[in-house]
Amino acid sequence: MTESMAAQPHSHHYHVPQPSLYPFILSGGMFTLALGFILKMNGFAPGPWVMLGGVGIILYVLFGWFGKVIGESQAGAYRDWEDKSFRYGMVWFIASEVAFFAAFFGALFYVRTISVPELGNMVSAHGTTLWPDFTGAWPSAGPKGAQFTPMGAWGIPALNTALLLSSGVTVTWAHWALLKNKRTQLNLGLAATVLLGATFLGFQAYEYYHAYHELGLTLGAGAYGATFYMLTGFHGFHVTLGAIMLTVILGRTLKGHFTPERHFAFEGVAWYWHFVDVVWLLLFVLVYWL
Amino acid sequence: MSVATTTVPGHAGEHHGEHHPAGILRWLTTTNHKDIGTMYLTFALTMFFVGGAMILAVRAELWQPGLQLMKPEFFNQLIGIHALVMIFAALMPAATGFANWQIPLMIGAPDMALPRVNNWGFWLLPPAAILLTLPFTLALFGIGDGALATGWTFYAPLSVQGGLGVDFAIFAVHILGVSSILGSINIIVTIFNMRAPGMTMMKLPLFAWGWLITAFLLIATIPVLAGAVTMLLTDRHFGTHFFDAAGGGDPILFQHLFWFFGHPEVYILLLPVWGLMPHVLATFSRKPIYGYKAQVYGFIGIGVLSVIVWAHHFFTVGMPVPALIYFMFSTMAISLPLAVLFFCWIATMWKGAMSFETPMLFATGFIVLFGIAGLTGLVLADVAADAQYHHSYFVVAHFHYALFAGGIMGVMTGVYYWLPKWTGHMYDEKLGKWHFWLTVVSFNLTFIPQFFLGLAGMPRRIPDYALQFTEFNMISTVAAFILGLSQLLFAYNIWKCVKGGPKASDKVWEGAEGLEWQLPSPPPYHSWETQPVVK
Amino acid sequence: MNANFTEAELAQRRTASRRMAWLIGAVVLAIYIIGFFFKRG
Ligand code: HEM
Ligand SMILES: [Cu+2]
Repeated sequence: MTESMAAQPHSHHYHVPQPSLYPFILSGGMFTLALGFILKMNGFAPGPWVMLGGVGIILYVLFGWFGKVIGESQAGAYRDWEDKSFRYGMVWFIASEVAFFAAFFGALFYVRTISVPELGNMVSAHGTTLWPDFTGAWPSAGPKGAQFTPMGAWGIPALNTALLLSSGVTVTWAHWALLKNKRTQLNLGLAATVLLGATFLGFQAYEYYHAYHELGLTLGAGAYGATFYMLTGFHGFHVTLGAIMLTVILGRTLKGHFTPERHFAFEGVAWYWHFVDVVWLLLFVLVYWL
Repeated sequence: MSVATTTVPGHAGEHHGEHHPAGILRWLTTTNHKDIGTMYLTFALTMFFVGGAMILAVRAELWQPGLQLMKPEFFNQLIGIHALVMIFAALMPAATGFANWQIPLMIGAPDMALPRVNNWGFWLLPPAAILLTLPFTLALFGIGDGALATGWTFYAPLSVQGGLGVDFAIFAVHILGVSSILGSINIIVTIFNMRAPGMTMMKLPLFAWGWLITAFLLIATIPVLAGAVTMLLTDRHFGTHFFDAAGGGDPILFQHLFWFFGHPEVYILLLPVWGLMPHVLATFSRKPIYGYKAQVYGFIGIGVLSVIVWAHHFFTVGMPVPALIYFMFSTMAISLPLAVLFFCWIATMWKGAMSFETPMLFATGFIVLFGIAGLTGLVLADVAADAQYHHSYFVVAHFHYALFAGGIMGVMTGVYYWLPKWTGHMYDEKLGKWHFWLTVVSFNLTFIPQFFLGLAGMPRRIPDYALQFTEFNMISTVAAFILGLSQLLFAYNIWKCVKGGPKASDKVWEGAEGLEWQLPSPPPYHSWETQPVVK
Repeated sequence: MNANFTEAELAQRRTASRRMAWLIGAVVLAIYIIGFFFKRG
């Protein structure tokens, strides 16, 4: 380090990782998975096997790549400068997820306030007699969708709201513990969060079963069914991912990883978990309640 | 592990010389922004020719009325895949290649902030390109009926009913989308976190500013496209009714979702070019950039406006009049910040000691021709007029002035401008000038007739046409082939420049300003490991 | 070509570009004004 470096905010070189084959293999895995899925949907026999191959490749990379990053992190390769990159990166990744959910909320808004009322209004607005009996009241499966009973808000969904909100509290409790280096509280908080998340998913699975078998509420139940399942389904998928990531973090805290000063992975996952939480609140209000 | 160390264990093994694997493995595994930039640019150039070949087949079919060479279905497939290839596999990767090469050099950063993610972003592109084009090959073996045949816009219900090719295109778009998001995150983080000490945001090179706004737009809109094609997929295979009125859905919902992405996308394609333009103009006018702040605010203004104007792409679909009026005026409002940019470009040249090397030729050509894109856009933004022009060749001509003269010629400007820096050699100036003049003349001969064809009522995306359109179509076809062939000069010139040529100086251009020109040409494999200090 | 111009050459180019700008401006203005004399049939 030369004298002039004193004028610089960074006292070290940025960590540019060594060449790695993981990203390339991961791309191959995603290609294989997509190809298998296309084949499967169009009724080609090898489809599911190709998909399985793709999933295998992706899992191999996830273990390898994340394992490597964790190793680098433990070896102290990352300091403030790199840490900040990860933080910014996670924030903008979550922003892109927000936009993804926005597309489905947008579709819900559109069918509720534009297309369904319009279809109920065909006779007076357009003088057509196609579907004269359709009133356009929400919840609706449209003029020709399968009949169904909508999902009430105050049973399982309300319980699930409570579960996810408490999990937001427990993960914050764990974070406080980490900042004060209270390892037992940290482990307990994380374990409780994972548990609450898993219970949420269990209830949601039960809710789907109930909807399909007793309420006639299926993916094919018109505008309501489509928006209901795509919104809650993608949310559930994100909860699953979040719970898996939390489990990995729990595994790492049990091994003694993270310090009060340096724990980006923990925080990144916690942010993700809060994001999933907020999406759920919107779901609860806009899909189940109103 | 809670040891707070002052000496750094992880320090070893990083940034020491050039011990990367040799041969193909170097490219598969690289985490170096220059290598990755080179791969993006090479991929873009390759796909530029793939997409070009497709559309020349289309132009050949349109040489005469009646069906000559191909079935209408195949014609439709060529048009749609041409557009997707040019937008997602040529223009966007070219811009990302620029970002990779230039942003670290221009802001004094040792590399991109997330180098492995950077490599992943690139390597997602070839699989996506394969997914897009594979259905053509499968059809030869009797599997499926070819590629996506809906045009690049995927409109429902045609896309709900279409064959295997639609599914391939949906997943291609998903993978391209992931790649764009990864690239955008990387660029944002690099700009926020890797700038040289002293380089405040208001000293950031305009090229980086242009890309920053691009990246925000990508993060806001690409996921919406992903959502739209996901709904399409579930409508096709899993029984949902998003775009089906029988279930309470609406095909027009697809258009809203698509163009919420699609309109910002056209600015995504252009903002990087608007970012590089002032650097080139200033260099060859030997003057500082005029109106730096105005251009930054112009970028931001256009970025914000671009997400609230989408419905001008389907004025004729049947919308309430207040909505039509809103979308008309908001669309027209975009020309205000755009006019600010034009003013700044011209004012940068005003009274300059100008010289017209190839990059400057392309830059000035860009200003004139892109101006025509903006003016014809205003015509289309007029709801009443658009009822006549919508889905005609007028629209095709409009967006080719925007995307070829604005986008592709902008990329060519950048390539000629920076190639000597990247390779260490000067390109062949004479060949460059030939390339420029052949391109501008044949480009205008290709697309001016299309304005008139559109005004006279020739619809787009139809392989046959009424007899009175024949002459103009013939002119357009001949010119299109000249345009396509001229691009071989471009490829040859690049090839020659990579192989050798007169040595380029560090500064390359007499009037050039900026950090990148302080590095040797070509810059070492790792540059700015010790960051420069900007005053 | 990457020219390195002398002071005199630079000055000459500055004048030339200013003249060219006025010329282009005049042509554009002329086209604009001539447009007013075209009436639709
Ligand atoms: C002030 C500037 C602009 C205005 C007011 C404008 C307006 C419009 C309008 C109203 C349409 C729809 C026409 C129709 O389908 O009937 C359109 C189409 C289009 N514009 Fe522009 N435009 C402008 C600039 C641009 C730029 C800068 C780009 C590209 C970088 C662009 C690319 C396109 C494309 C690709 C389409 C057609 C998409 C398709 O239907 O396949 N435009 N423009
Ligand atoms: Cu638009």
